[in-house]
Amino acid sequence: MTLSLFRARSTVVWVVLVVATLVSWAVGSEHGTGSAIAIAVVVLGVAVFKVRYVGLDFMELRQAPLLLRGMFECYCVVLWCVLAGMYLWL
Amino acid sequence: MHVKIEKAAARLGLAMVGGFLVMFWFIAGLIPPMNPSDSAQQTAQIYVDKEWRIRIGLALMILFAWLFAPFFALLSRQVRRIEGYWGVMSLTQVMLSVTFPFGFSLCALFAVAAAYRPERNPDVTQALNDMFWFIFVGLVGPLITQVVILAFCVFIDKREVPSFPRWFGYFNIWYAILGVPGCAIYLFKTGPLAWNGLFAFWIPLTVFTIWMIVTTVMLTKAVDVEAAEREKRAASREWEPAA
Amino acid sequence: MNQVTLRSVVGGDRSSAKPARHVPGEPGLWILLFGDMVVFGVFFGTFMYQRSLAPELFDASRQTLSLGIGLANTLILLTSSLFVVTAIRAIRSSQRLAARWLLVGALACGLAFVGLKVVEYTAKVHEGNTPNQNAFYLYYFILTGLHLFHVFIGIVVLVLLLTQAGKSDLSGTRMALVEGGACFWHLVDLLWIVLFPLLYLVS
Repeated sequence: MTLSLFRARSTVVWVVLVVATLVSWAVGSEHGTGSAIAIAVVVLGVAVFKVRYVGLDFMELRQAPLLLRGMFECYCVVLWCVLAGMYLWL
Repeated sequence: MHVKIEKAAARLGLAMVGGFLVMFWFIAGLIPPMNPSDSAQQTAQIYVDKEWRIRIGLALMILFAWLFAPFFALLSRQVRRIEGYWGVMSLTQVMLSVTFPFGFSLCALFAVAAAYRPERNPDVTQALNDMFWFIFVGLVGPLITQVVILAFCVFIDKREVPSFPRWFGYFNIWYAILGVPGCAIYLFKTGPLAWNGLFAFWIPLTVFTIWMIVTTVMLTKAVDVEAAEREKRAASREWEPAA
Repeated sequence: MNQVTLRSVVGGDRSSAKPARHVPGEPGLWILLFGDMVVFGVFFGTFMYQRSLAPELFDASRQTLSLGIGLANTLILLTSSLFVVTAIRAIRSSQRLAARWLLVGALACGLAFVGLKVVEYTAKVHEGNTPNQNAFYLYYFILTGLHLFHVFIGIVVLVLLLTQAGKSDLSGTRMALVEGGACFWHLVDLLWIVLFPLLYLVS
C-alpha cells in the first residue's frame, strides 16, 4: 500500500537530489586548490539545479500554469547568475 | 455616510504613513538610522547637529500619531464583521490597535527628550536615543499579531461574498514573517539585525509601507462589500445585524 | 458541499488528453512563497557581498563549521520533502492512514533538523564561535536562525496537515490549504538547499 505510493517520479527525483547533494559536498570539500570556477559553477549550479527539481516535482510546478512555472524558472536562473556572478567578480 | 467616513479612515491611515516618512525622514533626518555602535559622544553630536530638525519633526509626530486610529478602527470593524460579533479576535484587534500610535509617539518622546537639552551628559542622551530605536524598530509584536489574526480571518471567512480575497491572507502572512526580525535588535549592535540593519530595519520598513498601501486598498474594497450587503438587506427588509 | 476532485498527476488517468494545468495550493499562496524566496534571495546576495569584503576570513571561518551536521540536515530535509509529497499523493488517493504515517515521518525529520541545529549551535558557542565574533559567524547565525524560524512555522504547518490528513473528505478549499501547506514545507527545504552550500561549501 505505502510502497506503491513511492513508485513515482518524486521518489526518483529524491534519489537524484541526494546524489547531487553528495556530489556538491565532495566538490565543495576539495577546497583550496584554486578551483574557484568549479565552486561557483558546480556547487552553486548544483544548488540551483536542486532548487529547480524541488519546485517542479515536489511543489508540483511542472503541472502549473506556464506563467507560474516560468516565474519559478526565472527565479532559479537569476539566483544562479547573481550568486555565481558575485562569487566570481566581486 | 458610513461608506464615506470608513473610506476616509482607510485613506487617512495611508496618508499618515506618508506623514510619518516625511516627519521621520525628511524633517527629522532620523532615517537612514544612526549607528548603534556609535559612542555616546558621537550620538550626542548627532543630536546637537540635528537638534531642531528632530525636535520639530518628532513634535509633529507626537501630535499626529493618533490619526492612525481610525484606520485601525476600520480594520477592527472588518474583523468583527467576519467574526460575527465582538469576539476575541475583534477585541484583540482593538486592543492592539490602541498600542499602534504609541509605536510612533512614545519613541518620539524619547528622541525629543534627547534633543531637548543637547548640552547635557552624552551618556544620558545615548540612553534616551537607545530607547527611541528600541521602541521604533524593536516593538513589532502588536502589529505582527494583528496581521496574523487578520490573515486567519481572511481564511475562515465563509460568507458568500467575503470581505477580502484569499490572496490577501497570504500577503499578510508574508508581511508578518518579514516584520518579525525587528525584534532582534536588542541583541546586536552591528550587522543586519542591528537597528540600522538590512533585515531588522530596511526590509521591515519597506514591507510595512507596502502593507499599508495594499491594506488601504483592500479595506476600501471591503467597505464596498459591506455597503452592498447593507443595501441588499435593506431591499429585502431584513434587520441590520448588531454593531 | 461538492468535493472538488483534483485531477491526479503522476500515474494517473491517462485517458484524458492532457491534464489541465493546476496551481499548487491556490494563486494567493504564491505571493507568500515567491515573496519569501525573493527576500531570501536578497539575504543570500547580502551574504555574498559581505564575503567579497573579506574572502579569506570567510573561508577560514567556514572551515570551522560542522560540515557533517550541515550535510546530514540537508539529507534530512530532502527526505522530509519526499515524505510530504508522497503524503499528498496518499491523500489524493484516499489512503488516509498512509498519509498520516508519512506526515509523522516528515514531522520527525523536521524535529531531527531542529535537534541537530541545537547541537550545532551549542557546539559552535562552546568552541568560542559566536555571532559577535566576525562577519561570517554573524551571518551564519542570522541566516540559519531566520531559516530555523521558518522550520518552526513549517513544523506547525505539518501538524495542521496531520489533522487534515485524517479527514475522510476534503473540500476544494481545504485541499488547497493542504497543498499549500505542503508547498510551504518544500520552501523550507528549498531555502536550506541554497543555504547549505552557500555557508558550508562556497566561501
